[in-house]
Amino acid sequence: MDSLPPAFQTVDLGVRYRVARHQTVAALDSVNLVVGRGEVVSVVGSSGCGKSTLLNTIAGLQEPWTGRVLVGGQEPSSRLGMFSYLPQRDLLLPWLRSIDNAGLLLEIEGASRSEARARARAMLERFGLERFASYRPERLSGGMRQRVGLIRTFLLDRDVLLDEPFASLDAMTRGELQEWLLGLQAASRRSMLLVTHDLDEAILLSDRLYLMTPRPGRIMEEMVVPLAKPRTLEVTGTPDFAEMKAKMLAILRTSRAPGRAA
Amino acid sequence: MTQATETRTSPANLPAMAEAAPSRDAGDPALMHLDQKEGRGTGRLLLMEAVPGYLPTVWLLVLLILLWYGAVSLFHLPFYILPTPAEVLNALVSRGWNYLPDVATTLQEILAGFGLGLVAAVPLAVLISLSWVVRRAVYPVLIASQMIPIFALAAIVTIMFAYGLLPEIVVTALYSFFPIVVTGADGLMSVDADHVNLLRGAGASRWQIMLRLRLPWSLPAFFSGAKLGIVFAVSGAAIGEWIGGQSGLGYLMRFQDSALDVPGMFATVVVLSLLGVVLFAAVSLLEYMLLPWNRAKRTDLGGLWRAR
Repeated sequence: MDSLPPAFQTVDLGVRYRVARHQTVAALDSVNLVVGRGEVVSVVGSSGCGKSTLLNTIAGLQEPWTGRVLVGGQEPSSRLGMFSYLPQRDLLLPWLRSIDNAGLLLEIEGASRSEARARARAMLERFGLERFASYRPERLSGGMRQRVGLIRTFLLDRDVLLDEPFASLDAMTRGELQEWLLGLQAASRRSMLLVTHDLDEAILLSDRLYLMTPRPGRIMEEMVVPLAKPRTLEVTGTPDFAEMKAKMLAILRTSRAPGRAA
Repeated sequence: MTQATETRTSPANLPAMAEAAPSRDAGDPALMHLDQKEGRGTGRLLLMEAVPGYLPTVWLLVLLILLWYGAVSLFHLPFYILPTPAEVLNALVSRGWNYLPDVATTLQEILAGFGLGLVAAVPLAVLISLSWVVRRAVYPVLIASQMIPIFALAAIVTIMFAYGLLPEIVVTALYSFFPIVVTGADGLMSVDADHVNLLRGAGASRWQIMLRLRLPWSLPAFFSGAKLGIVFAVSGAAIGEWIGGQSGLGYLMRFQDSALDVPGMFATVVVLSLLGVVLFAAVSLLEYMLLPWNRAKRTDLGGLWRAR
C-alpha cells in the first residue's frame, strides 16, 4: 500500500481569480490534500470557501495558479477525461431517457450506444431503478435524478469527484441517497473526493476529511473518521459520531473567532 | 402535470440498496415500452382536443368580418377600394379549384426556398456559435442584408437568375434564412456552462460537445426560427412571384391588381394566408413530435398545438 502513489493529490495548490486589471483575489491557498486508492475523502467548509474551485481545478476544467495536481503520482498534461465529476446539479440532459443519461459519459468515452445502454441498464437494475430507465428527467423526482447522475458518474471507471451532491434534496431523501452512495462506493471501491458543507454527510461518507477555512480556501485540519465500515444511517446516532462532530464544530468555531479571520 | 403522481411517490418505495428488489415486469426490458408510454398517437388526440380551444379565434374572425361589413356600408366604399366579405367569398368560390395550380407553384417555391434557407442557416449558425471571428464578421453583414427591401432584392434576383421558379426560390430562401440563423445561433450559444463542463471534464471533444449537447439543446431555438422562417417564406415567395413570376399566387395577385379585380385579390390573399397557417402548423406539429422533452414548457402561444 505504501509503495503505491495515492490516487491523486494536490501540492501547494493555489488558485486566484482576476477581478480587475492588476488585481487578483485568492480562492485557494496552498492546498495539500491526498486521496488514497479506494479512499473516500471529504473537504468540509462553508459556502464560498473555494470548494467548487478545488474540484474544477482537480478535474482540469481550470488550471492552478500555483502548485500542481498529481494523478497517480504523475503530473498529466491534461486532466480532462481523468476524473468522473458530478457537479452540484444533476445536469441530466432533458432529451435523454434515464438509461441514455446514465450511459452518456460512457459514450463520450467511446463506448457504442448499445454497450453503454447495456452497462447502464445493468446498473439501473442493480439499484432497482429499471422502471425509470425509459423516463426523461422531467418525469423524475429530484432524488431520482440525482441517482441517475450518480450512476452516470460511477459507470466510468475513474476516480470520482462530487460537489455537494445532495445539497438540493430534502433531509429524508438526502439520508436515503447517502446510504445509497455508501453502497455504490462499497461495491465499486472508487477513490472519491467529496466537497460538502454538511458535517453529518462528511462524517457518514468519508474515511478521512479536511476542514477548510474560507477566503482564501486553506486546509486547517485533517481528521480521520473513526467509524468502521460498512456504515448505515444509524451510525449518525452513535456517540463516536457525535464526538467527531463536536470536535469538528469546535475547530470550525475557533477559525471564525475574531482575530483569526483572514 | 401527469407525471407527478407516479414518480413523486416512488423514490420512497425503492429500497436503498435494492440488490434483491424484485422486478415488477420481469423479462420485459425497460426499453420495450419506451414508445407506448408517450408520443404515439398524441397528434390525433391533440387535434380533436384543440377544436374547442380555437373558439376565441372564431369569435375574433367573426368580429373582424362584422367590422369589415360595417366599414364598407358606413363609408359607402365601392368594390374596387374595399369589397364586402360576401364579394370576396364569391370570388373565392367562383375560382374554386382553379387556385390549385397556383397554390402548387407557390407551395413548391416555399418548400424549396425554405429548405434551401434551412440548409444554409444551420451550418452558418453553428459557425457563428463556434467562432468569435465568424460571429464578428458575419453578424453585422447579415443584419445589414436584412435592411434591403425585399422588393429590391426580388428585382435583383430576378435579373440575376433566369426566369422560371429559381428567382422566387432564391428570394424565399434569402428571406426565411435570417430568423433561423439568428435564433439558432442564440440557442447554440445559450448552452448552460455547467453542462459543457460536465462533458469537457469527462474528456469530450468540441465535436462531441456540439453533437451531444449544443445541437440538441438548441433545437427548440432552431424551431422558433423555423416557424418565423416559414411565415417569411410565404410572403417571400409571393413577392418573388409578383416581381418576376410566371405563375403562382403572387403572380395571380399582380394580375388581379392590374385588372382592378380587388375582390379576387382579397380572395387570393385569403388563400395565401391559409397556406401560411397550414405551413406554420406543420412546423409546430413537427416540433411537437420531434421534441417530446420540450412539450411541458410549451404553451399554445408558441404554436398551434397545445402541450398538455
